[in-house]
Amino acid sequence: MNEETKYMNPYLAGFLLGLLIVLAIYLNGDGLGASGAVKNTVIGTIQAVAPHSQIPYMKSYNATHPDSPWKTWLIWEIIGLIIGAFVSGLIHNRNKFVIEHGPRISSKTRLVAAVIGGMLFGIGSQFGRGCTSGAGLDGMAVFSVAGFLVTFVIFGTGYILAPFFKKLWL
Amino acid sequence: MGPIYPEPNFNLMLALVIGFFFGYLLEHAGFSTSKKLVGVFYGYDFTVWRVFFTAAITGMVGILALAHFGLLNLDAIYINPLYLWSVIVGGIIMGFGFIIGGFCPGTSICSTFIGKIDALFFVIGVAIGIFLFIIGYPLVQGLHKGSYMGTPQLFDTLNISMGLFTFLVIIFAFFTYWAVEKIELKVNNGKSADPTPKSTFAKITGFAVVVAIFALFIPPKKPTMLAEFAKPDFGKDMHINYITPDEVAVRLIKGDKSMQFVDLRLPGEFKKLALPYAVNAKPEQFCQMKMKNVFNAAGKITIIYSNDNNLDRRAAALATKVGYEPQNIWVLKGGFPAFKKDILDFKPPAVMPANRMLRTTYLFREEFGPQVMQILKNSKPRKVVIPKAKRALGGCG
Repeated sequence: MNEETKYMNPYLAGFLLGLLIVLAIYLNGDGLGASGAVKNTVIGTIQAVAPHSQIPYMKSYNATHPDSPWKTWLIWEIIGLIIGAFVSGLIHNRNKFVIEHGPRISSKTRLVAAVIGGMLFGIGSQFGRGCTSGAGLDGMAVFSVAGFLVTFVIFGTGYILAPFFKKLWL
Repeated sequence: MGPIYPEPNFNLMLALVIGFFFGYLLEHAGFSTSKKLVGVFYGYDFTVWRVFFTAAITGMVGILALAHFGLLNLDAIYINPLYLWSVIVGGIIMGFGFIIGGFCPGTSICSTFIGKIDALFFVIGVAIGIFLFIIGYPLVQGLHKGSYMGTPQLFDTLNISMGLFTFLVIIFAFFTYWAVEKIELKVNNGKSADPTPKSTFAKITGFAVVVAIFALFIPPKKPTMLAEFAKPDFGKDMHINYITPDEVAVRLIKGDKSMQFVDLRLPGEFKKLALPYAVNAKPEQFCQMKMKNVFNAAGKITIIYSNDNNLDRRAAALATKVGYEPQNIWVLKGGFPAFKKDILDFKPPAVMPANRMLRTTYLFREEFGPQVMQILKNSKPRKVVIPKAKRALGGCG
């Protein structure tokens, strides 16, 4: 990077993000989400590969969700998110292929950690009924105890663990 | 009054637009690099904290204001349900995921599409994790579905008003902004990650304090759904699924286990005779735990009946409005009186009708009516859901 690209003011970004959540709730009664879209993708893929899957979860899902998991609000929102991120990266000159990692680990270690972290986040988001966006952010915006609790636990756990994973980052 | 539920295809376009800004904001806020994200855990960069908390309080104020001006029905919006242990365990696992992987799902997708290979691996991990959860669901179902505590909102739990709660959270947020700045200065040897000039931050704080005080004086208008439900034309424009007594009878004889019944009649009538394993309840109780288990039972449809067709229709509309799956909610056409007259006590007319369909139906009813009666008598009705409705129904909460 020859020149530090500047990010948006955090308070302004937060304010606009908050307005976006309010708009989403005003339109559909539900906020933004991310892990839900990945879930729909996974379920849609399972349905395509094994339409009559005997996995108990899928049987129950198929029985209660007659509509396609693809043509859903979350999926389209995520397509928008992808375009939005790409456009922002383009405008602010941040689009480039790179493996970001801490100074004390190799790219390979970083990628392994990323997959493991992702897996854990994927599993955790199912128990939490949403990730940082759908459960945490939206949950707090609608004052739900679950939203505050999950945010507190995610970040609290992160703080407790941070000293043990220092090597990955610092 | 919102939510306005746009027309489906248009709604998907809106999703695309909202998603665009979501992605743009996450990326441009600096969430597209794990270095900035984990900074919050090591004290060198609290951008995530600032953005996240500001978004949350903006959201709260926005929801409160919309509700105050009667633009948003708070009963109709999604409140995250609280499955206590599931949320705690999920949060802990996500905490591990965050510190090890350096992203959360939304930020990892953003980062992937500006070229971060590590983010792509994280996204793949998320998909694998969700897949593993789906495969292993029977093992964890107890935890996932257990310790359900409804959809409490924190101001209710703390027993303060929505406005006061918002006020306190805003004040707390700005206190933390001040505190994290101190931490950053210490960790980074006198350098803050916040680019906001001091004078601008003072203005933002001033504005927030004004908003916080304002929040104290704008109580939400909360139309309780029960007041609406009491009106005879409640849910008149909603689509309701009807099932005929004949179909119910056929399915009972076939031993179909996918039907369950909710009987809205008086307990006395219910005890005398009811459909197999019916649950006796009042619509006011639809949000109670027992009824949640009924309506949310996997792979089952719930058939509502009473002696009053309009009550049945309104009850089905209510069940839909409080958030149960509409395609699983059915109304017995004609209610219990029709079932009794057409099936249980069916008397064929003296002259059989010429219409073949009708004649077959009559023959069926005549032959199987007593058998259905036997099924009803052999199946003890489930139980009377004890009336316990304390607070007015407002969504399931």
